[in-house]
Amino acid sequence: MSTPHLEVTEASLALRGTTLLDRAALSLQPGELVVLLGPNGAGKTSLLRVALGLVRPDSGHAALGGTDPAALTPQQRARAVTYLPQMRDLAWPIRVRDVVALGRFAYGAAPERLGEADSLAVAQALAACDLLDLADRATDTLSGGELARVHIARALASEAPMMVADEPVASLDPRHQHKVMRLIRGFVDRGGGALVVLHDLDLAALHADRLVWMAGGRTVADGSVADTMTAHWIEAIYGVHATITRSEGAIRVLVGR
Amino acid sequence: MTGRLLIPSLMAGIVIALVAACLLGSVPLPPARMAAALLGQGEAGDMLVVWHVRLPRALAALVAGAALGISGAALQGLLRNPLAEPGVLGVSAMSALFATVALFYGLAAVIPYALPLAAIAGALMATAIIAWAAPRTRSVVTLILVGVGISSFSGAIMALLMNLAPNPFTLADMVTWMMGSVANRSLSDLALSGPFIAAGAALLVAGRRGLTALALGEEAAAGVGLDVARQRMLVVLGAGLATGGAVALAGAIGFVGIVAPHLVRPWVGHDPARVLVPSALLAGLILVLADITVRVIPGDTELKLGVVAALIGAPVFVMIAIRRGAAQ
Repeated sequence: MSTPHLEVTEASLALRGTTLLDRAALSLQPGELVVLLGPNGAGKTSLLRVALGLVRPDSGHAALGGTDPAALTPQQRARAVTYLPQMRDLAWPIRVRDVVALGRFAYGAAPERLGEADSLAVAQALAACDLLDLADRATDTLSGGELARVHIARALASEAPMMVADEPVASLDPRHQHKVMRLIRGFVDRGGGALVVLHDLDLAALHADRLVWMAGGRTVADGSVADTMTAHWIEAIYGVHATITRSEGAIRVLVGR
Repeated sequence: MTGRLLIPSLMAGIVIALVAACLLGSVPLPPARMAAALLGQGEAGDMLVVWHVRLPRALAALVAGAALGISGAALQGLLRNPLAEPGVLGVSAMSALFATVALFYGLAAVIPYALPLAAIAGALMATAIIAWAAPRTRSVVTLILVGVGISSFSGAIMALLMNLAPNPFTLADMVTWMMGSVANRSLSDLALSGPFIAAGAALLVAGRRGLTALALGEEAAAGVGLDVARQRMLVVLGAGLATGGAVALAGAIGFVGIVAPHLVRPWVGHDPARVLVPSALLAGLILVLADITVRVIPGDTELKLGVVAALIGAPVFVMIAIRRGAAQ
């Protein structure tokens, strides 16, 4: 795999007669944080799954570093892009350290068998996410915010050049939302490419390099925050009125009248 | 840190239990004579008691227990639920049904491996149904109900076979099979089922890494690089082989596969991969002890091993189920 570059072109997907994606397009380069916006059921998760090769589109293409991601083995895929699906509770109260170690799964590591490179990656990820004190805690004793950081650490430990995160800040308080976004920002600043699904427009405006707007399975707008975070698009996508203000250079969104 | 001594202690426990199993019984056998017999230098009578009665029986309990323990732990890891177990999911019942058919329609007498093969075929069919149903339902309750369905169906066919049983002896044999017992097992019975159990256990141990990944959920497990379909196949095959082998050896013994992983889990940081081996050892130990209990309880009719296992295991099952309900 040459350049770690993720691309979806003209992808359509239907499931039992329901259209999930309708000629959707998406691209992600290293060093950029793209936020995918859209109402529930707009097809965001389906688009991520097509981009990752977890599902093959009925028509159109997906490419990961120039190859068809659906043709990759799960290991190859995991080394190229780390995927954080919508958060579910862990099935077992396993230790924080062991969850982060799962980021090394694609390198053949298991929590009790970590090579030198694996141990280093896990330790760095724990440190980066401020989890060293929690490393030996069971995951069922963590708060939602702490658990979200554990998943980010797992993604960082994989050392994949790309990250795809589906609503990583869902149900977190504002402080943790920003904390998680700053961790993802840090990953991008170090040269990674991140594709993140968000529902918080302010958060998106603050952290994104580029926004992709989805509605009804289509990617209807794709551009910078300044160009696309407008009352027009917010109304077109979400069906709500919005006022855009600028304070200290940052774009703020006031939804509703 | 806590887990480091777990496997050595369980192994020590097993050795002690096996020695106890050779010592205890209706014929008193002092330690010196038992040791001589074990080393092949005892009197003919002692040798017979140790090598043909007590040791094979204890080993059969150990091996069957280990197979059920590792299958239970692996199925729990795959289905991400501590209530999954070969007995609860109907795997043992269907396996016992197939084994009964092989026995009473004379297949086992004609083809040497017919009994374990039939038991394994039944176990594989049930695990395959469960694994097929699992991704189609998000609800574990549904899955347990599928297991109850498989159990009831197998039970119904079994009842039909009993109804048609040609004579009371056949009937008694069937009952023994359904309840589970290691009475009158020989070393050749062990040799017949052992390889299948070993193969199943080896598959499960080889694939244990994926069980940890599955703790994240199937989507995220695929995301970290797990081939989920392959993992599912591996556990179905492994648990099918091991459980089928156990049923061929000892009949349908329920609930050991649920108790052992449950007890072991806190000692290994709840990691579903690290649960497998200690859970196999503990389940084996539990069955050896349960079988000793069965043998030393005075009375005309010996209690069936499966009955004792269920008496201990069923309340634990209910307890886990209630605790889980409360947590959610």
